[in-house]
Amino acid sequence: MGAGLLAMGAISWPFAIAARKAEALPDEVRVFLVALYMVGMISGVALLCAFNHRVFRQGDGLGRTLWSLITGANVALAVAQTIEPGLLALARGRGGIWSLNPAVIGCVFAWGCVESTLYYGKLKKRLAIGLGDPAVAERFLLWSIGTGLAAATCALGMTLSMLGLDTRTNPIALLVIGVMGICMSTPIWIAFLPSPHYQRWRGRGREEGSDG
Amino acid sequence: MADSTSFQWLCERIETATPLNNLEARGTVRLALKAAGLDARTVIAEQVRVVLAKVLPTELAARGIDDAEALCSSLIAGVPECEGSGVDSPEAVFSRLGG
Repeated sequence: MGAGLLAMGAISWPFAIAARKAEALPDEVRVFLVALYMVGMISGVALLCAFNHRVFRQGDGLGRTLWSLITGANVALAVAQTIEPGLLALARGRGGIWSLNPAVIGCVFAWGCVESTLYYGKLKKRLAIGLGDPAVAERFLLWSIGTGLAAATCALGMTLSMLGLDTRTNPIALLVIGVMGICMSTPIWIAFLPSPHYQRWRGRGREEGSDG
Repeated sequence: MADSTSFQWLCERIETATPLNNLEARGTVRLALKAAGLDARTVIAEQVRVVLAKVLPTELAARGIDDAEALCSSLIAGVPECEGSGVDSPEAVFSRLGG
């Protein structure tokens, strides 16, 4: 999960921005940067699909199907973009079918959101009869919120692009996507890397709750 | 993935001890598990014991089974431990991820 998020966010997105903004670079370098961006995105999406499948759908044909469809769609977009209008056009912000990539990313996050929400519902029922760990159940809720916001961010990014705002260069678009990025990463951070203060606060809340 | 050993054991006991047939017994147990947020394929002995104590008596009483609570209480001690399915539950994975 961490590797997937890292590949998509921290690693590949800077390559996309660099390829778009660094107009003084030779075309070959910009094409190389775009290629690295695409490889990062394809890898990141594949890894997140693997996480969803491994955690929620292991041994399940539907999980394998979703993984294949989403990863395959991403690869198809990359191949189609490379053929026409090419990676240089993408570096220059002239679009192409790769502009549908946020929809693919949105699908993988939406998948994770649905699975985590459904599983959180099950855990709530278990907690009601004294089974399970409330902290772990809360982790599913936070992951559900984070992935839901991530899917919404992808939809928002596509909307901004359709309105003519390049999400790699336009300050307004970058600000909006950046704020959404913070919103989506906060619950995920809390879920898996909670601060001692937060853990103490939640621990107190659970004790007060159990006292009725 | 096949149903867990604990689930199958429970269904057999319910079928033996009540007028319910195989299909009815399995359906009743599945509904009880669903109400408890559990799955017949992955339910373990510890969870079955809690379902027997807190959920199944109500489901059996709703189907006209007399003394459902006493029946469920008598079964709790005998629930067999099942071998691991070899598949980590989502709960186990998220528990590890949080440290």
